[in-house]
Amino acid sequence: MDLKNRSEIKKIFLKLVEIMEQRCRRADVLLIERKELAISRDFSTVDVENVSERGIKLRAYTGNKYYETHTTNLDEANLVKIAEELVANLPENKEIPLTKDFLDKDFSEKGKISPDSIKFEDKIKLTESAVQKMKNSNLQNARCNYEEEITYKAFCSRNKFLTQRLQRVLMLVIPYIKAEDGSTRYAFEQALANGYEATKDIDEKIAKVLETIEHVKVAKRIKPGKYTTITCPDPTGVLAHESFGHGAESDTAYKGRAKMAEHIGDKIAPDFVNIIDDPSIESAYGHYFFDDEGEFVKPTYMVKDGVITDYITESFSIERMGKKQSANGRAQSFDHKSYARMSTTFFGQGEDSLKDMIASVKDGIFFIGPVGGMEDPKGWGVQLQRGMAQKIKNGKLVDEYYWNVSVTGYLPTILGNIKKVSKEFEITHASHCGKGHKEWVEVASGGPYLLIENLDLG
Amino acid sequence: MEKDKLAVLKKVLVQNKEIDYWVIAKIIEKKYNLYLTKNVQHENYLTGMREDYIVTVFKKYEQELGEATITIVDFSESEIKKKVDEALFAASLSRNPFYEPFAEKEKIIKLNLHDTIFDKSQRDIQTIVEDFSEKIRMEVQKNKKIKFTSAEILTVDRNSLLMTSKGHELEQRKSAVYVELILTTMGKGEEVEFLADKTETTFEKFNISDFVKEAVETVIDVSNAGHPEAFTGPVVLTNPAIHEFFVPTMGENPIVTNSSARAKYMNVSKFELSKPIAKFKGEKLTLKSNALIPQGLRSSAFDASCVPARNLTIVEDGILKNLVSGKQFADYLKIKPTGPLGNIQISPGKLSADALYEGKTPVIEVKSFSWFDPSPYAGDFASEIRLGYLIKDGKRIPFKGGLLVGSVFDAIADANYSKETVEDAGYYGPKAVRFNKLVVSGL
Repeated sequence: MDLKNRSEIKKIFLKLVEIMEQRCRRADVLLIERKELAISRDFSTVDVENVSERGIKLRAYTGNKYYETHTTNLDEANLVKIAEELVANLPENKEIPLTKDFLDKDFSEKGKISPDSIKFEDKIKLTESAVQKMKNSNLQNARCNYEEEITYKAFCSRNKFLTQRLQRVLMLVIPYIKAEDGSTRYAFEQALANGYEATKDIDEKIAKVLETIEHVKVAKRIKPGKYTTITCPDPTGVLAHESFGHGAESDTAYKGRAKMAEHIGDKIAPDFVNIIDDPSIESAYGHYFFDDEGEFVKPTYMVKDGVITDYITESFSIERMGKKQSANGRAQSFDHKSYARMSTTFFGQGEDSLKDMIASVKDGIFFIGPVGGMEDPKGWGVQLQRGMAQKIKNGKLVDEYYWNVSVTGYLPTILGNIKKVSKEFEITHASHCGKGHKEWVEVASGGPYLLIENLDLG
Repeated sequence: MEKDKLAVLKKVLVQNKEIDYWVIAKIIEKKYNLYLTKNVQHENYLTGMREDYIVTVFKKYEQELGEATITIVDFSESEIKKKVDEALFAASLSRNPFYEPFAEKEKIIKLNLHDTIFDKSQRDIQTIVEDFSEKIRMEVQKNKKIKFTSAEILTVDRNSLLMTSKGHELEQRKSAVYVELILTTMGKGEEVEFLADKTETTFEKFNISDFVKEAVETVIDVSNAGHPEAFTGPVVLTNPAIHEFFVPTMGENPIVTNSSARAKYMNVSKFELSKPIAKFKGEKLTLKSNALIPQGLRSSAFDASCVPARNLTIVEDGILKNLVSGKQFADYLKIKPTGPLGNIQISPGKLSADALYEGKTPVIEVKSFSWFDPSPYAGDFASEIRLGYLIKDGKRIPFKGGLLVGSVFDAIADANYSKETVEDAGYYGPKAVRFNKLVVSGL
């Protein structure tokens, strides 16, 4: 199959759908081609990987289950063979619906500067220069990663042929710092965009991360306890992600694994709290035009005005739950199943100013991040871990820093204790999210600063 | 046809006189997965095969070695040539201090890491996977108060072939059977769940009865769990928490991370060879990496540089004995490469597991973490407890939530290990460890 020839892909994919639908209710085909360039450099070594993967998955839905297969052999004859084999043991489908409207659309994320237009040697020089700038500091080592990912997807069902080209450029700078106790700690800053313009702020990011070195070096462990806490956009986003979030995934809810199912329509937070998943935010790492099941993107409010509202969904569970489908059916790759997954997840913007929020705290914590987290959709437990934090005393940030701070608690208590939401807002966090510890997909998160009372930190 | 792809690739690499060394990794991966949703409905059968060809080219520049890694997805000779030329150009700009990229050729031990069930036809394998899931369902059904919420049975049959310019041609087949089982039961007025998961290399090694029994006991304890109060004192880790501590789900534990030659070369390790890795007050840790255990989940006969596997003592009686090293960083540090990192073996202690709970003060037992994710070099952690127990006045009271706070290095400095051992997904070691002073944050 000639992948440069879109009409040929469409022709073959429609043929495969037709073959499968002879023996199933609904069938689709998804091609994923992903090209990644990764340059990783530290003070002493450099690694370059320019890798790609390409494969196709075929799914046949009988009305009660999916049969799914995948291959990296894209010869038409092989694809026809595996499509036939996939449905060979299914009963003949005598009611193939007529296709009325056929949708054929192509989407492309170009960014301001295509990474393809930049010479490889310039990307290499960029990492060299970044590491060189960090060499001036008193560090044990420092790393700069340049990552560029270009993904092409083609989805086909009986009434749709959709293609999209997604593009992401991510830069990371990581200084390694010798702490007062002799151990190695690190800090990091990341710059991200859907084009090479991500790299333009790198000097600013380096300066910002280098400013934190002395704080990281002397930071102490926090005394476990309850604190009035202001979360920065990074931990705010991870809190949104780990709560509703994972707690709003329809497949999890359908299995009876999400407490949210019992609380749709319930008030869980003050009126000014909103939690949203929105794959349509172009500049974010979780952006796409349609999901891996051919649904077009739109925002989903999981919590609106403090009330638990909608799920993020994939097709199997949502058909059984009788709700509307959102564009969150995503697979790690062509050889993985699609699940209900997040895209860009965040708390909605508020009206308070950060300055006033800090000024209102007599004794508390400014939780900077970055953090990772873990979900608990059934128990509504929350865990955020490994963040940096700073003390707030008498309405001012003071020079007392904490290292490796974690958050734990019960979700309704945490959300109920949100007292202020800032108007300052940023989508900051780009990462890969697992369902449990597997099925990794690209996501982003962020939001405003939140003032939360009685937050359990340790 | 399959052989042709390798032959074409090899021909292009051999003919290109600019290339000084090359390695091809060909990986074929077959999957047979079954996903079970609510009411034990079969939601999805996933089967399929992927084939990947990963090539690294090397170019010598006096005291330097340029290298770049690419994958080949188009197999026409002209496309391969184009990709290889691009890789050579990338290699010319990504130079490291020189090292010999491959080990000398030597005999590689053949390890049995593969389930012969995967030699059967796809139809037969699917039937075996279905039977396996049915056995799990029946085992769960023995417990009337427990609900089988969902499960995933994911299997993989992976064949890896390494071919180098130095004449290595090494092949290894390895399989894995992963089960994720979600059980629920009624707790204090509401349903609670527990996610149990386990991986083995073969169906035969997967003891369904023990796996389900453990999961059932755990979810019952979760259903009775309250919240912890703040605590400072002895903390006992049992499986799976002890496994998570020494073999985290993601990354390596900070002891292994600090023992790597790469970390040493990067100047980020705080360890020194022949020196203690912590200020030991209790039993001294002995930690090995053994990649040679038959059917070991983390076993592997060779690494990416064709260095054979070995049973490596990393830490003995608290002293750092060897750095874990691939070929590149071994050459830089002028030490012998150690081959692939393998299963983590911790030497058992002198006391029985029961004795670890003895003493006048209460003890906390941590059975399961939400996610144990210590800082990779510093070893600090503050990890949420998914299931723990307060052992006090002869009672074992379950709790859920709160954070276990400490440092891996402080913890192992004052520890006692059980003499009974357990084997779980690449961890071979004591069934329980007592850390004599850690903090649990209350809720």
